Amino acid sequence: MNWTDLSNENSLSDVAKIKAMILAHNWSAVRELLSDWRPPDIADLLLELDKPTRVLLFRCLPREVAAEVFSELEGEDTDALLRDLTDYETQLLLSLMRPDDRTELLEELPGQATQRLLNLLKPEDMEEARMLLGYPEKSVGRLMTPDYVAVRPNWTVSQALEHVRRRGHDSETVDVAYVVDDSWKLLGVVSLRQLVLADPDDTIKDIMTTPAVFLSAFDDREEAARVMDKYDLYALPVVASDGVLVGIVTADDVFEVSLEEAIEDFHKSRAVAPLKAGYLESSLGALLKSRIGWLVVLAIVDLIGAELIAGFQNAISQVVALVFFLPLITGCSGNAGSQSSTLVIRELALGEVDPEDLPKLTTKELLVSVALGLTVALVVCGPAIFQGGPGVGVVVSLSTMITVTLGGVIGLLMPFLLRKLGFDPATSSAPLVTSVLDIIGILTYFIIATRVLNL
Amino acid sequence: MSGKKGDYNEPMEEHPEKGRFSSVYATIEKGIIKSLIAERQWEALRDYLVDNIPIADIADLLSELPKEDRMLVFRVLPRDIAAEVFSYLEPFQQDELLRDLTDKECTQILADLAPDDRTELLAELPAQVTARMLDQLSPEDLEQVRWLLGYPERSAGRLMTPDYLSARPEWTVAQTIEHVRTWGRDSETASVIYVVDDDGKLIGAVSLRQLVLESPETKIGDIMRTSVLSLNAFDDINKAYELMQRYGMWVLPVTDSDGILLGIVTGDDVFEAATQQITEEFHKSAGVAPIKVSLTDASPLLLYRNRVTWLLLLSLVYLISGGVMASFEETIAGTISLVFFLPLILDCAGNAGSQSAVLIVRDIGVGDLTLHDWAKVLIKELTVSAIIGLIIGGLVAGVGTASAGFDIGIVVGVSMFLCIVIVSCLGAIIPLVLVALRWDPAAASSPLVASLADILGVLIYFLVAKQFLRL
Repeated sequence: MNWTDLSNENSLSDVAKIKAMILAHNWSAVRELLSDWRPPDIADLLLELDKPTRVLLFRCLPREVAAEVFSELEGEDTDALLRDLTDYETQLLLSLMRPDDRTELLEELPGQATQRLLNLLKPEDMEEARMLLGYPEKSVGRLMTPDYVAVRPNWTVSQALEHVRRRGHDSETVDVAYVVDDSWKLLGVVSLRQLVLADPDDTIKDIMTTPAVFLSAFDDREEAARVMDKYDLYALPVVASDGVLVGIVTADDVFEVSLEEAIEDFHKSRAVAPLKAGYLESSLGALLKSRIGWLVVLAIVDLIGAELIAGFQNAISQVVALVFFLPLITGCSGNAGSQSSTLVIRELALGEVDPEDLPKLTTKELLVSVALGLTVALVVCGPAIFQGGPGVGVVVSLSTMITVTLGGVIGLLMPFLLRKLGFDPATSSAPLVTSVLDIIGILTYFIIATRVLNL
Repeated sequence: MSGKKGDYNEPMEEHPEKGRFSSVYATIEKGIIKSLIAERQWEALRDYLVDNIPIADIADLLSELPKEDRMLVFRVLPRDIAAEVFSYLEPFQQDELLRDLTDKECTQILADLAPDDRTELLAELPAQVTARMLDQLSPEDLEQVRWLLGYPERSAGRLMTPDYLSARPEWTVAQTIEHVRTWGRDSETASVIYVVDDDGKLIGAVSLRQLVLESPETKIGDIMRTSVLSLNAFDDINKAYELMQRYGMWVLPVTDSDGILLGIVTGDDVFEAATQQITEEFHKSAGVAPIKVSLTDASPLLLYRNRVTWLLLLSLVYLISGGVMASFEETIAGTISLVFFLPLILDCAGNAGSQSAVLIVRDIGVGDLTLHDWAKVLIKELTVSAIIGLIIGGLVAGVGTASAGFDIGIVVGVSMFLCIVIVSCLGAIIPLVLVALRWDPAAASSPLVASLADILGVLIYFLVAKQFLRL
């Protein structure tokens, strides 16, 4: 098998083989062939089968593998599979899942199913699940796992290694061990590599390093991604406000989160509320719901623009050519605005700008957008004179200059303003910026026109 | 993990400030550092930085300092930490710093950098600086740099480091641990040890964790995992990202086409590259040519250059809309109130279109949709947009009637409905077509498509008006 390629491409023949084996009920052969497969690939295979066969294959997997494969499934598929499993099987599956995967499962399932699962959990797992689900949605607490290796500062290296050997089998990552005192306060970290490199008689407190940063379970999960990226860390400790270690967050979970968040921001940037499923899988209702709200809000903003234009009816009826450049004026300022606001939104998401940078950024944006406005004004000046005479030419150039400048600056400020008001800055989507700038553009354009052309 | 050593010989209570929540940005620490710099207390500053401040934050601090101070603080840092701090700086800051350092200092930093950081640095620096740097490398480092820089940009080869740990299948666990103890300090990661045969071919992998858990006499060949996920040196970074994400891996081995192990890539580098790419896509979606530095560091000229082309291009498209409108001059002159609703119609249609485009582009991105699905997509989008069109069309028809009379209300409502349906469907189909043509489907959600849709909107609006108002 060629593992250098993504499995979906290379194992097509294997998939056919396995399907044949399943039809023949040759379970030992299936198990043999799958022993080399990784859980995400088995999960994909499972999804290619029809539902009754899925359960058959799932039951033939070794228990630990089954739990990992199950963690890879999503939404409806997990729900469907769970319904076909007996209570006993479900119980076993749940007890073998990692705590963070279990939290994810419980938060995604419909209410009834969650209740059934909670009842099936072992008392200590139940308590853990309740604790983890108690943290706010999209918080670090929901991502973390309480499975880590903890060592004491006064242990020797060989004692610690012995402990890792005993505990290491069921903790999520043993590449790092956390050093805690009697009250479970985090004192330091020590990597498995350090343990292996150190003298067996060294004391842990002499070789441990200061944790660069730690997270609070209530931090936003985006914070975890930012911190990991900044400090190049694979695992981050999560502590309570009194410094007590409550869990760890690992990069694989954070990887996924940062991708999800980026997609969400992207959707927001086009005025689409986040959708959970793909386009074709989403119901008509879900699609409508995610789109109509913003469209109506934006339409209402645009209606204000319509009323404003009506106020300049006289001017328009005297110089009809003015209308021809209306899309240009509103369009250009909208584009300049969505450029600057997109730049800022992304930087805010990555944590690269702070409100304290605002004066510096505004000055810079002013400079840039004046230059942009001048350039565009120069280019459109010709066509405007050609179509409406020198008067219209002056009006159009002057208006583009002013509206592009205003557009750039307002586009920059809007995400900051929205954040200050408690909204997600990504709400300052290109469409919202465009609509607001339309109003400003229309006003500027017609006021300049009435002044310059004496209408 | 940063390799810094904390001092815990004293009880914890005396160091309440050690370790911190990431969200509490170290204002106190910054204050202490600034006053140490102001008092020119270099020794104390060095000790404070080394003991208390993570490498990434020292880099942050440097970039905030005025140029003269930056140089002074950088020179104060111990050698090994200086190189690490250096690798966290942005390329233009590295460039500035290198210009001010003596040749000897440069040589030292270059020698201390990890090979992957060195490749990145040399690839990003201006050509003449790179030439100066290459002159100062040791012959073996020079050969390595030439080799790594030979791989294409954004390939696994560019990101990899040849500092990894390898073992032979016939070694015992005890032998391998001994090997790790000898060489583990220099390697980028020690959590995975790769197993190679006599030709250097990658044949398996064991984790450090396995080594610790297994008994010392066991042969590596018996415990290694033989199906190892690996990258080809010419593979795109995206593939590294996909594999790491899918299989939850932090380190991947890189081989040549014969399966010979060349190096490893680590998650931190891949993560950074992937984040950068997402940023570029964001920028493109708003008609900004990708900007590699952060907004605070970008010069006004750079920002201007990256934005002006699109703005000009788009303004030309708007001029075409204007031209189309000019051909309806009589219609407009006859019923001026038509003009009031023009921006409204164009905006709403454009918004609906970019909504459908962004949804479809996402699904193409994750591999859920291809051109074959066009019929299903079209039917669904027709239904969704028809409902949206009815709602918004009804809304504006009402407002239009109230403010400009029944005739105008009807025209506005009907054109709104038509524009929303047509532009939404285009927004859904164009990405599918683009991807079939092997273009970037994300181009469909760019402002260019939106402004082209404007021309269509102008046309539809005035044609409907002509029809209904018999102008």
